[in-house]
Amino acid sequence: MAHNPHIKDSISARGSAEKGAASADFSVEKNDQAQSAGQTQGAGRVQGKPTVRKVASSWGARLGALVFWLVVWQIAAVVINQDIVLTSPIQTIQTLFSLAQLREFWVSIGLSLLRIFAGGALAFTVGSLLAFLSFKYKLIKILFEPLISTIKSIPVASFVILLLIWVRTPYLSISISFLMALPIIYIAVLEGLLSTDQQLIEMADVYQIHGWQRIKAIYLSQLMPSLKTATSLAMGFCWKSGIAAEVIGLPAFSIGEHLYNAKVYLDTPALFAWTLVVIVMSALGEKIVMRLVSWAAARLEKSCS
Amino acid sequence: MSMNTTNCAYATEQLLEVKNITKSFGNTVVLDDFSYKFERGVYVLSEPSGAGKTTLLRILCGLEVTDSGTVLKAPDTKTVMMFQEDRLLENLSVMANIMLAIQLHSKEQKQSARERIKEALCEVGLEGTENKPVSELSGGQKRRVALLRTLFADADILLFDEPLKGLDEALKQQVIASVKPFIESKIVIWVTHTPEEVKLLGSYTALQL
Repeated sequence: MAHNPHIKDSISARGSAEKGAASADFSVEKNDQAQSAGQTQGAGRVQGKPTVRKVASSWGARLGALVFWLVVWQIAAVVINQDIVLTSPIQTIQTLFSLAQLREFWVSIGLSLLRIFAGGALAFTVGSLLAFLSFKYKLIKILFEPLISTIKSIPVASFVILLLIWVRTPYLSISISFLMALPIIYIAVLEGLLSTDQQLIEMADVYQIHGWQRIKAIYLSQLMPSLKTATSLAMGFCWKSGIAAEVIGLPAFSIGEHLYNAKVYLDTPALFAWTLVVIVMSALGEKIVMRLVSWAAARLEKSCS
Repeated sequence: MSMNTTNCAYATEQLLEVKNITKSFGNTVVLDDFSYKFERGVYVLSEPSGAGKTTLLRILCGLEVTDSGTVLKAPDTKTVMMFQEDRLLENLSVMANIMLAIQLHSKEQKQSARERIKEALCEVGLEGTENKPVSELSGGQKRRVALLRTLFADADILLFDEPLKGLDEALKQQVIASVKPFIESKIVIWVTHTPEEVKLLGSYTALQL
Protein backbone atom coordinates (compact mmCIF):
# COMPACT_ATOMS: atom_id res chain seq x y z
CA MET A 1 0.00 0.00 0.00
CA ALA A 2 1.43 3.38 -1.00
CA HIS A 3 2.23 5.45 2.02
CA ASN A 4 1.37 9.13 2.07
CA PRO A 5 2.88 10.97 5.07
CA HIS A 6 0.33 13.80 4.82
CA ILE A 7 -2.51 11.37 4.92
CA LYS A 8 -1.00 9.51 7.84
CA ASP A 9 -0.43 12.69 9.86
CA SER A 10 -3.91 13.96 9.41
CA ILE A 11 -5.40 10.51 10.03
CA SER A 12 -3.32 10.16 13.17
CA ALA A 13 -4.59 13.51 14.40
CA ARG A 14 -8.13 12.45 13.64
CA GLY A 15 -7.58 9.04 15.21
CA SER A 16 -6.26 10.64 18.37
CA ALA A 17 -9.16 13.05 18.47
CA GLU A 18 -11.58 10.18 18.03
CA LYS A 19 -9.85 8.15 20.70
CA GLY A 20 -9.88 11.17 22.97
CA ALA A 21 -13.58 11.60 22.44
CA ALA A 22 -14.16 7.92 23.06
CA SER A 23 -12.17 7.96 26.27
CA ALA A 24 -13.93 11.14 27.37
CA ASP A 25 -17.27 9.39 26.88
CA PHE A 26 -15.97 6.40 28.79
CA SER A 27 -14.89 8.62 31.68
CA VAL A 28 -18.29 10.26 31.83
CA GLU A 29 -19.96 6.85 31.87
CA LYS A 30 -17.61 5.60 34.56
CA ASN A 31 -18.12 8.77 36.57
CA ASP A 32 -21.85 8.27 36.35
CA GLN A 33 -21.43 4.73 37.60
CA ALA A 34 -19.18 5.85 40.41
CA GLN A 35 -21.57 8.58 41.44
CA SER A 36 -24.52 6.25 41.36
CA ALA A 37 -22.60 3.90 43.60
CA GLY A 38 -22.25 6.72 46.06
CA GLN A 39 -18.50 7.07 45.66
CA THR A 40 -16.73 10.41 45.81
CA GLN A 41 -13.89 10.12 43.38
CA GLY A 42 -12.34 13.15 41.72
CA ALA A 43 -12.71 13.68 37.97
CA GLY A 44 -10.06 11.84 35.98
CA ARG A 45 -9.25 9.44 38.81
CA VAL A 46 -11.76 6.82 37.73
CA GLN A 47 -10.08 3.68 36.45
CA GLY A 48 -11.42 0.63 34.63
CA LYS A 49 -9.46 -1.84 36.77
CA PRO A 50 -10.57 -2.60 40.34
CA THR A 51 -8.62 -0.62 42.90
CA VAL A 52 -6.59 -2.25 45.70
CA ARG A 53 -9.12 -0.89 48.20
CA LYS A 54 -12.04 -2.47 46.32
CA VAL A 55 -10.29 -5.85 46.09
CA ALA A 56 -9.30 -5.70 49.75
CA SER A 57 -12.84 -4.79 50.82
CA SER A 58 -14.24 -7.63 48.69
CA TRP A 59 -11.85 -10.14 50.32
CA GLY A 60 -12.52 -8.60 53.71
CA ALA A 61 -16.28 -9.10 53.23
CA ARG A 62 -15.75 -12.75 52.26
CA LEU A 63 -13.46 -13.38 55.21
CA GLY A 64 -15.95 -11.68 57.49
CA ALA A 65 -18.77 -13.94 56.28
CA LEU A 66 -16.57 -17.02 56.76
CA VAL A 67 -15.59 -15.98 60.29
CA PHE A 68 -19.27 -15.32 61.09
CA TRP A 69 -20.31 -18.87 60.14
CA LEU A 70 -17.33 -20.41 61.92
CA VAL A 71 -18.37 -18.56 65.07
CA VAL A 72 -21.98 -19.79 64.62
CA TRP A 73 -20.66 -23.35 64.18
CA GLN A 74 -18.43 -23.07 67.26
CA ILE A 75 -21.30 -21.69 69.39
CA ALA A 76 -23.63 -24.47 68.17
CA ALA A 77 -20.99 -27.11 69.02
CA VAL A 78 -20.49 -25.63 72.51
CA VAL A 79 -24.27 -25.49 73.11
CA ILE A 80 -24.88 -29.07 71.90
CA ASN A 81 -21.72 -30.25 73.65
CA GLN A 82 -21.69 -33.70 72.01
CA ASP A 83 -18.84 -34.41 69.59
CA ILE A 84 -20.70 -37.31 68.05
CA VAL A 85 -23.52 -34.96 66.95
CA LEU A 86 -21.60 -31.83 66.03
CA THR A 87 -17.84 -31.45 66.10
CA SER A 88 -16.49 -27.95 66.67
CA PRO A 89 -14.42 -26.23 63.95
CA ILE A 90 -11.37 -26.27 66.22
CA GLN A 91 -11.63 -30.03 66.74
CA THR A 92 -12.19 -30.54 63.00
CA ILE A 93 -8.95 -28.72 62.25
CA GLN A 94 -7.11 -30.69 64.94
CA THR A 95 -8.37 -33.97 63.46
CA LEU A 96 -7.37 -32.81 60.00
CA PHE A 97 -3.82 -32.08 61.18
CA SER A 98 -3.49 -35.48 62.80
CA LEU A 99 -4.83 -37.18 59.65
CA ALA A 100 -2.39 -35.20 57.53
CA GLN A 101 0.50 -36.92 59.36
CA LEU A 102 -0.49 -40.22 57.73
CA ARG A 103 0.75 -41.28 54.32
CA GLU A 104 -2.63 -42.91 53.63
CA PHE A 105 -4.33 -39.51 53.91
CA TRP A 106 -2.35 -38.07 50.98
CA VAL A 107 -2.53 -41.24 48.89
CA SER A 108 -6.31 -41.34 49.32
CA ILE A 109 -6.67 -37.70 48.29
CA GLY A 110 -4.39 -38.22 45.30
CA LEU A 111 -6.18 -41.30 44.04
CA SER A 112 -9.66 -39.79 44.51
CA LEU A 113 -8.53 -36.67 42.68
CA LEU A 114 -7.10 -38.75 39.86
CA ARG A 115 -10.25 -40.83 39.42
CA ILE A 116 -12.63 -37.90 39.55
CA PHE A 117 -10.52 -35.76 37.22
CA ALA A 118 -10.18 -38.68 34.80
CA GLY A 119 -13.98 -39.01 34.70
CA GLY A 120 -14.38 -35.25 34.21
CA ALA A 121 -11.73 -35.08 31.47
CA LEU A 122 -13.32 -38.03 29.68
CA ALA A 123 -16.75 -36.37 29.88
CA PHE A 124 -15.28 -33.14 28.54
CA THR A 125 -13.68 -34.90 25.56
CA VAL A 126 -16.54 -37.26 24.71
CA GLY A 127 -19.25 -34.65 25.40
CA SER A 128 -17.57 -32.03 23.18
CA LEU A 129 -16.93 -34.51 20.36
CA LEU A 130 -20.48 -35.85 20.49
CA ALA A 131 -21.87 -32.32 20.49
CA PHE A 132 -19.78 -31.39 17.43
CA LEU A 133 -20.94 -34.53 15.63
CA SER A 134 -24.57 -33.86 16.63
CA PHE A 135 -24.23 -30.32 15.33
CA LYS A 136 -22.83 -31.54 12.03
CA TYR A 137 -25.01 -34.61 11.50
CA LYS A 138 -28.67 -34.45 12.43
CA LEU A 139 -28.89 -38.24 12.60
CA ILE A 140 -26.35 -38.35 15.43
CA LYS A 141 -28.25 -35.62 17.28
CA ILE A 142 -31.52 -37.56 16.95
CA LEU A 143 -29.76 -40.75 18.05
CA PHE A 144 -28.07 -39.32 21.13
CA GLU A 145 -30.74 -36.91 22.36
CA PRO A 146 -32.82 -39.54 24.22
CA LEU A 147 -29.68 -41.13 25.67
CA ILE A 148 -28.39 -37.82 27.04
CA SER A 149 -31.84 -36.95 28.44
CA THR A 150 -32.02 -40.34 30.14
CA ILE A 151 -28.53 -40.00 31.67
CA LYS A 152 -29.48 -36.52 32.86
CA SER A 153 -32.60 -37.68 34.68
CA ILE A 154 -31.33 -40.93 36.26
CA PRO A 155 -30.40 -40.46 39.96
CA VAL A 156 -26.74 -40.93 40.92
CA ALA A 157 -27.65 -43.75 43.35
CA SER A 158 -29.28 -45.80 40.56
CA PHE A 159 -26.19 -45.43 38.40
CA VAL A 160 -23.86 -46.35 41.27
CA ILE A 161 -25.76 -49.55 42.07
CA LEU A 162 -25.98 -50.49 38.42
CA LEU A 163 -22.32 -49.77 37.74
CA LEU A 164 -21.25 -51.75 40.82
CA ILE A 165 -22.39 -54.80 38.85
CA TRP A 166 -20.77 -53.74 35.59
CA VAL A 167 -17.38 -52.25 36.57
CA ARG A 168 -14.68 -52.90 39.16
CA THR A 169 -14.80 -50.60 42.19
CA PRO A 170 -11.66 -48.56 41.34
CA TYR A 171 -13.37 -47.53 38.09
CA LEU A 172 -16.72 -46.74 39.72
CA SER A 173 -16.02 -43.09 40.56
CA ILE A 174 -14.47 -42.53 37.11
CA SER A 175 -17.61 -43.89 35.44
CA ILE A 176 -19.98 -41.95 37.70
CA SER A 177 -18.11 -38.65 37.29
CA PHE A 178 -18.11 -39.23 33.55
CA LEU A 179 -21.84 -39.95 33.39
CA MET A 180 -22.80 -36.98 35.57
CA ALA A 181 -20.64 -34.47 33.67
CA LEU A 182 -21.34 -35.79 30.16
CA PRO A 183 -24.86 -34.30 29.68
CA ILE A 184 -23.75 -30.92 31.06
CA ILE A 185 -20.85 -30.64 28.63
CA TYR A 186 -22.79 -32.10 25.69
CA ILE A 187 -25.77 -29.75 26.12
CA ALA A 188 -23.60 -26.65 26.69
CA VAL A 189 -21.42 -27.31 23.64
CA LEU A 190 -24.36 -28.20 21.39
CA GLU A 191 -26.43 -25.18 22.51
CA GLY A 192 -23.39 -22.96 22.01
CA LEU A 193 -22.82 -24.31 18.51
CA LEU A 194 -26.48 -23.99 17.56
CA SER A 195 -26.61 -20.41 18.76
CA THR A 196 -23.51 -19.33 16.82
CA ASP A 197 -24.15 -15.99 15.17
CA GLN A 198 -25.44 -16.69 11.63
CA GLN A 199 -23.95 -13.44 10.40
CA LEU A 200 -20.50 -14.73 11.37
CA ILE A 201 -21.18 -18.00 9.56
CA GLU A 202 -22.05 -16.03 6.42
CA MET A 203 -18.88 -13.97 6.85
CA ALA A 204 -16.85 -17.18 7.14
CA ASP A 205 -18.51 -18.51 3.96
CA VAL A 206 -17.73 -15.35 2.00
CA TYR A 207 -14.13 -15.12 3.22
CA GLN A 208 -13.61 -18.85 2.67
CA ILE A 209 -12.68 -19.56 6.28
CA HIS A 210 -12.90 -23.33 6.42
CA GLY A 211 -11.73 -26.34 8.40
CA TRP A 212 -9.79 -25.88 11.62
CA GLN A 213 -9.58 -22.10 11.16
CA ARG A 214 -13.37 -21.92 11.07
CA ILE A 215 -13.76 -24.15 14.15
CA LYS A 216 -11.19 -22.11 16.07
CA ALA A 217 -12.20 -18.60 15.09
CA ILE A 218 -15.95 -18.89 14.72
CA TYR A 219 -17.22 -21.81 16.78
CA LEU A 220 -14.77 -22.23 19.64
CA SER A 221 -14.41 -18.53 20.30
CA GLN A 222 -18.22 -18.17 20.38
CA LEU A 223 -18.50 -21.27 22.53
CA MET A 224 -15.98 -20.34 25.21
CA PRO A 225 -18.26 -18.42 27.63
CA SER A 226 -20.87 -21.20 27.84
CA LEU A 227 -18.14 -23.85 27.94
CA LYS A 228 -16.50 -22.15 30.93
CA THR A 229 -19.81 -22.08 32.84
CA ALA A 230 -20.55 -25.70 31.94
CA THR A 231 -17.05 -26.84 32.96
CA SER A 232 -17.40 -25.17 36.35
CA LEU A 233 -20.82 -26.78 36.85
CA ALA A 234 -19.62 -30.19 35.62
CA MET A 235 -16.62 -30.12 37.98
CA GLY A 236 -18.95 -29.62 40.95
CA PHE A 237 -21.10 -32.55 39.82
CA CYS A 238 -18.02 -34.74 39.28
CA TRP A 239 -16.89 -34.17 42.85
CA LYS A 240 -20.25 -34.75 44.48
CA SER A 241 -21.12 -37.83 42.44
CA GLY A 242 -17.56 -39.22 42.45
CA ILE A 243 -17.29 -39.09 46.24
CA ALA A 244 -20.82 -40.55 46.60
CA ALA A 245 -19.76 -43.42 44.32
CA GLU A 246 -16.66 -44.03 46.44
CA VAL A 247 -18.76 -44.14 49.61
CA ILE A 248 -20.90 -46.87 48.05
CA GLY A 249 -18.22 -48.73 46.07
CA LEU A 250 -15.46 -48.38 48.71
CA PRO A 251 -12.39 -48.54 46.50
CA ALA A 252 -9.16 -48.88 48.53
CA PHE A 253 -7.38 -45.60 49.29
CA SER A 254 -10.19 -43.18 48.56
CA ILE A 255 -11.84 -40.24 50.31
CA GLY A 256 -15.15 -42.11 50.08
CA GLU A 257 -13.73 -45.09 51.96
CA HIS A 258 -12.61 -42.82 54.81
CA LEU A 259 -16.01 -41.09 54.93
CA TYR A 260 -17.67 -44.51 55.14
CA ASN A 261 -15.36 -45.66 57.94
CA ALA A 262 -16.04 -42.45 59.84
CA LYS A 263 -19.75 -43.20 59.57
CA VAL A 264 -19.35 -46.85 60.68
CA TYR A 265 -17.18 -45.97 63.71
CA LEU A 266 -19.27 -42.88 64.54
CA ASP A 267 -16.07 -40.84 64.20
CA THR A 268 -17.76 -37.48 63.58
CA PRO A 269 -14.55 -35.39 63.82
CA ALA A 270 -13.01 -37.54 61.05
CA LEU A 271 -16.22 -37.22 59.03
CA PHE A 272 -16.02 -33.41 59.32
CA ALA A 273 -12.28 -33.40 58.54
CA TRP A 274 -12.74 -35.49 55.38
CA THR A 275 -15.70 -33.36 54.33
CA LEU A 276 -13.49 -30.30 54.70
CA VAL A 277 -10.93 -32.03 52.47
CA VAL A 278 -13.63 -32.59 49.83
CA ILE A 279 -14.68 -28.92 49.95
CA VAL A 280 -11.10 -27.65 49.65
CA MET A 281 -10.21 -30.12 46.88
CA SER A 282 -13.39 -29.28 44.97
CA ALA A 283 -12.68 -25.52 45.12
CA LEU A 284 -9.01 -26.01 44.21
CA GLY A 285 -9.83 -28.45 41.42
CA GLU A 286 -12.35 -26.07 39.93
CA LYS A 287 -9.86 -23.20 40.05
CA ILE A 288 -7.21 -25.30 38.30
CA VAL A 289 -9.60 -26.52 35.59
CA MET A 290 -10.97 -23.02 34.98
CA ARG A 291 -7.41 -21.70 34.68
CA LEU A 292 -6.69 -24.44 32.15
CA VAL A 293 -9.79 -23.57 30.12
CA SER A 294 -8.92 -19.86 30.19
CA TRP A 295 -5.34 -20.65 29.17
CA ALA A 296 -6.61 -22.80 26.28
CA ALA A 297 -8.99 -20.01 25.21
CA ALA A 298 -6.15 -17.47 25.24
CA ARG A 299 -3.90 -19.80 23.21
CA LEU A 300 -6.71 -20.32 20.75
CA GLU A 301 -7.25 -16.60 20.27
CA LYS A 302 -3.53 -16.03 19.87
CA SER A 303 -3.22 -18.76 17.26
CA CYS A 304 -5.77 -17.00 15.04
CA SER A 305 -3.42 -14.08 14.31
CA MET B 1 -22.48 -21.80 0.56
CA SER B 2 -25.42 -22.32 -1.78
CA MET B 3 -25.33 -20.76 -5.20
CA ASN B 4 -27.29 -22.48 -7.88
CA THR B 5 -26.75 -19.89 -10.56
CA THR B 6 -23.01 -19.44 -10.68
CA ASN B 7 -21.39 -20.75 -13.78
CA CYS B 8 -17.64 -21.00 -13.78
CA ALA B 9 -17.15 -21.67 -17.50
CA TYR B 10 -16.66 -18.11 -18.57
CA ALA B 11 -14.28 -16.00 -20.62
CA THR B 12 -11.15 -15.12 -18.67
CA GLU B 13 -11.13 -11.36 -19.43
CA GLN B 14 -14.75 -10.97 -18.44
CA LEU B 15 -14.89 -11.70 -14.72
CA LEU B 16 -18.56 -11.26 -14.01
CA GLU B 17 -21.87 -11.12 -15.79
CA VAL B 18 -25.41 -11.37 -14.50
CA LYS B 19 -28.16 -12.43 -16.85
CA ASN B 20 -31.85 -11.83 -16.24
CA ILE B 21 -31.76 -12.36 -12.51
CA THR B 22 -34.98 -12.14 -10.56
CA LYS B 23 -35.37 -12.34 -6.81
CA SER B 24 -38.50 -12.04 -4.67
CA PHE B 25 -39.11 -12.23 -0.94
CA GLY B 26 -42.71 -13.34 -0.53
CA ASN B 27 -44.80 -11.13 -2.80
CA THR B 28 -42.16 -8.42 -3.00
CA VAL B 29 -40.06 -8.49 -6.15
CA VAL B 30 -36.67 -7.09 -5.20
CA LEU B 31 -34.77 -7.71 -8.43
CA ASP B 32 -36.67 -7.97 -11.67
CA ASP B 33 -34.90 -9.35 -14.72
CA PHE B 34 -31.61 -7.56 -14.00
CA SER B 35 -28.74 -8.05 -16.42
CA TYR B 36 -25.27 -6.52 -16.53
CA LYS B 37 -21.79 -7.21 -17.86
CA PHE B 38 -19.19 -6.09 -15.37
CA GLU B 39 -15.70 -5.12 -16.46
CA ARG B 40 -12.86 -4.14 -14.20
CA GLY B 41 -13.68 -0.84 -12.51
CA VAL B 42 -15.83 0.78 -9.87
CA TYR B 43 -19.62 0.53 -9.95
CA VAL B 44 -21.76 2.58 -7.63
CA LEU B 45 -25.22 1.67 -6.43
CA SER B 46 -26.94 4.53 -4.64
CA GLU B 47 -30.61 3.79 -5.12
CA PRO B 48 -33.13 4.24 -2.30
CA SER B 49 -33.57 1.67 0.47
CA GLY B 50 -35.44 -1.46 -0.57
CA ALA B 51 -34.29 -1.23 -4.21
CA GLY B 52 -32.39 -4.52 -3.93
CA LYS B 53 -28.82 -3.28 -3.57
CA THR B 54 -27.87 -5.57 -0.70
CA THR B 55 -29.76 -8.47 -2.28
CA LEU B 56 -27.72 -8.08 -5.47
CA LEU B 57 -24.47 -8.12 -3.50
CA ARG B 58 -25.59 -11.18 -1.55
CA ILE B 59 -26.44 -12.96 -4.80
CA LEU B 60 -23.07 -12.06 -6.29
CA CYS B 61 -21.15 -13.51 -3.36
CA GLY B 62 -23.31 -16.62 -3.21
CA LEU B 63 -25.25 -15.96 -0.02
CA GLU B 64 -28.59 -15.69 -1.78
CA VAL B 65 -30.10 -17.89 -4.47
CA THR B 66 -31.92 -16.24 -7.37
CA ASP B 67 -35.45 -17.23 -8.41
CA SER B 68 -34.32 -17.19 -12.05
CA GLY B 69 -31.40 -16.00 -14.15
CA THR B 70 -27.70 -16.72 -13.98
CA VAL B 71 -24.55 -15.27 -12.48
CA LEU B 72 -21.51 -16.02 -14.60
CA LYS B 73 -18.02 -15.81 -13.16
CA ALA B 74 -14.61 -16.60 -14.64
CA PRO B 75 -12.96 -19.70 -13.15
CA ASP B 76 -11.16 -19.20 -9.80
CA THR B 77 -12.69 -15.78 -9.31
CA LYS B 78 -12.74 -14.82 -5.66
CA THR B 79 -15.56 -12.59 -4.45
CA VAL B 80 -15.68 -11.00 -1.00
CA MET B 81 -18.19 -8.67 0.57
CA MET B 82 -17.98 -6.03 3.24
CA PHE B 83 -21.32 -6.27 4.98
CA GLN B 84 -23.46 -3.46 6.33
CA GLU B 85 -22.68 -4.87 9.77
CA ASP B 86 -19.02 -5.20 10.79
CA ARG B 87 -19.27 -8.97 11.41
CA LEU B 88 -15.98 -9.06 13.27
CA LEU B 89 -14.98 -11.58 15.89
CA GLU B 90 -15.17 -9.37 18.95
CA ASN B 91 -12.91 -11.42 21.22
CA LEU B 92 -10.14 -11.70 18.65
CA SER B 93 -7.54 -9.03 17.99
CA VAL B 94 -7.65 -6.61 15.07
CA MET B 95 -4.74 -8.49 13.47
CA ALA B 96 -6.44 -11.89 13.90
CA ASN B 97 -9.65 -10.61 12.30
CA ILE B 98 -7.82 -9.39 9.21
CA MET B 99 -5.47 -12.39 9.01
CA LEU B 100 -8.45 -14.75 8.96
CA ALA B 101 -9.42 -13.45 5.53
CA ILE B 102 -6.00 -14.21 4.09
CA GLN B 103 -5.12 -17.71 2.98
CA LEU B 104 -1.44 -18.06 3.80
CA HIS B 105 0.63 -21.10 4.61
CA SER B 106 4.28 -20.28 5.14
CA LYS B 107 5.59 -18.40 8.17
CA GLU B 108 7.33 -15.87 5.91
CA GLN B 109 4.11 -15.09 4.05
CA LYS B 110 2.29 -14.62 7.33
CA GLN B 111 4.99 -12.35 8.72
CA SER B 112 4.97 -10.25 5.56
CA ALA B 113 1.16 -10.00 5.69
CA ARG B 114 1.33 -8.86 9.31
CA GLU B 115 3.76 -6.10 8.35
CA ARG B 116 1.52 -4.94 5.50
CA ILE B 117 -1.52 -4.97 7.79
CA LYS B 118 0.31 -2.88 10.39
CA GLU B 119 1.18 -0.36 7.69
CA ALA B 120 -2.41 -0.29 6.42
CA LEU B 121 -3.73 0.16 9.96
CA CYS B 122 -1.53 3.23 10.31
CA GLU B 123 -2.85 4.63 7.06
CA VAL B 124 -6.47 4.41 8.20
CA GLY B 125 -5.72 5.92 11.60
CA LEU B 126 -5.61 2.69 13.59
CA GLU B 127 -1.93 2.59 14.46
CA GLY B 128 -1.10 0.53 17.54
CA THR B 129 -4.43 -1.29 17.59
CA GLU B 130 -3.26 -4.55 15.97
CA ASN B 131 -3.18 -6.51 19.21
CA LYS B 132 -6.31 -4.99 20.73
CA PRO B 133 -9.44 -7.12 20.91
CA VAL B 134 -12.07 -5.75 18.53
CA SER B 135 -14.49 -5.41 21.45
CA GLU B 136 -12.35 -2.53 22.74
CA LEU B 137 -12.68 -0.47 19.55
CA SER B 138 -15.19 2.28 18.78
CA GLY B 139 -17.82 1.84 16.04
CA GLY B 140 -15.80 3.84 13.51
CA GLN B 141 -12.63 1.89 14.27
CA LYS B 142 -14.44 -1.44 13.83
CA ARG B 143 -15.75 -0.26 10.46
CA ARG B 144 -12.22 0.42 9.29
CA VAL B 145 -11.05 -3.01 10.49
CA ALA B 146 -13.89 -4.63 8.52
CA LEU B 147 -12.85 -2.60 5.47
CA LEU B 148 -9.22 -3.70 5.74
CA ARG B 149 -10.32 -7.34 6.10
CA THR B 150 -12.13 -7.03 2.77
CA LEU B 151 -9.19 -5.35 1.07
CA PHE B 152 -6.64 -7.87 2.36
CA ALA B 153 -8.74 -10.85 1.24
CA ASP B 154 -7.11 -10.45 -2.17
CA ALA B 155 -10.30 -11.01 -4.16
CA ASP B 156 -11.05 -10.21 -7.77
CA ILE B 157 -14.53 -8.91 -7.03
CA LEU B 158 -15.00 -6.61 -4.05
CA LEU B 159 -18.52 -5.84 -2.85
CA PHE B 160 -18.94 -2.98 -0.38
CA ASP B 161 -22.28 -2.45 1.34
CA GLU B 162 -22.20 1.03 2.83
CA PRO B 163 -18.54 0.63 3.80
CA LEU B 164 -18.04 4.09 5.29
CA LYS B 165 -21.22 4.16 7.33
CA GLY B 166 -20.60 5.94 10.62
CA LEU B 167 -17.40 7.71 9.58
CA ASP B 168 -17.25 11.49 9.39
CA GLU B 169 -16.54 13.29 6.12
CA ALA B 170 -12.86 13.97 6.69
CA LEU B 171 -12.18 10.41 7.81
CA LYS B 172 -14.05 9.07 4.78
CA GLN B 173 -11.66 10.97 2.52
CA GLN B 174 -8.62 9.61 4.27
CA VAL B 175 -9.90 6.05 4.20
CA ILE B 176 -10.83 6.20 0.52
CA ALA B 177 -7.37 7.48 -0.30
CA SER B 178 -5.84 4.43 1.32
CA VAL B 179 -8.35 2.08 -0.34
CA LYS B 180 -7.38 3.14 -3.87
CA PRO B 181 -4.24 1.00 -4.34
CA PHE B 182 -6.15 -2.12 -3.32
CA ILE B 183 -8.93 -1.83 -5.89
CA GLU B 184 -6.93 -1.26 -9.04
CA SER B 185 -7.84 -3.68 -11.83
CA LYS B 186 -10.64 -5.25 -9.83
CA ILE B 187 -14.40 -5.22 -10.05
CA VAL B 188 -15.70 -3.06 -7.22
CA ILE B 189 -19.38 -2.62 -6.46
CA TRP B 190 -19.87 0.12 -3.92
CA VAL B 191 -23.26 0.64 -2.27
CA THR B 192 -23.73 4.03 -0.69
CA HIS B 193 -26.34 6.66 0.03
CA THR B 194 -23.74 9.41 -0.38
CA PRO B 195 -22.34 9.06 -3.93
CA GLU B 196 -19.99 12.02 -3.31
CA GLU B 197 -17.76 9.69 -1.33
CA VAL B 198 -17.13 7.55 -4.40
CA LYS B 199 -16.00 10.49 -6.53
CA LEU B 200 -12.86 10.30 -4.45
CA LEU B 201 -12.22 6.81 -5.80
CA GLY B 202 -11.84 8.22 -9.31
CA SER B 203 -13.94 7.31 -12.32
CA TYR B 204 -16.93 5.06 -11.72
CA THR B 205 -20.09 3.79 -13.35
CA ALA B 206 -23.46 4.48 -11.73
CA LEU B 207 -25.42 1.26 -11.72
CA GLN B 208 -29.22 1.16 -11.84
CA LEU B 209 -31.32 -1.79 -10.78
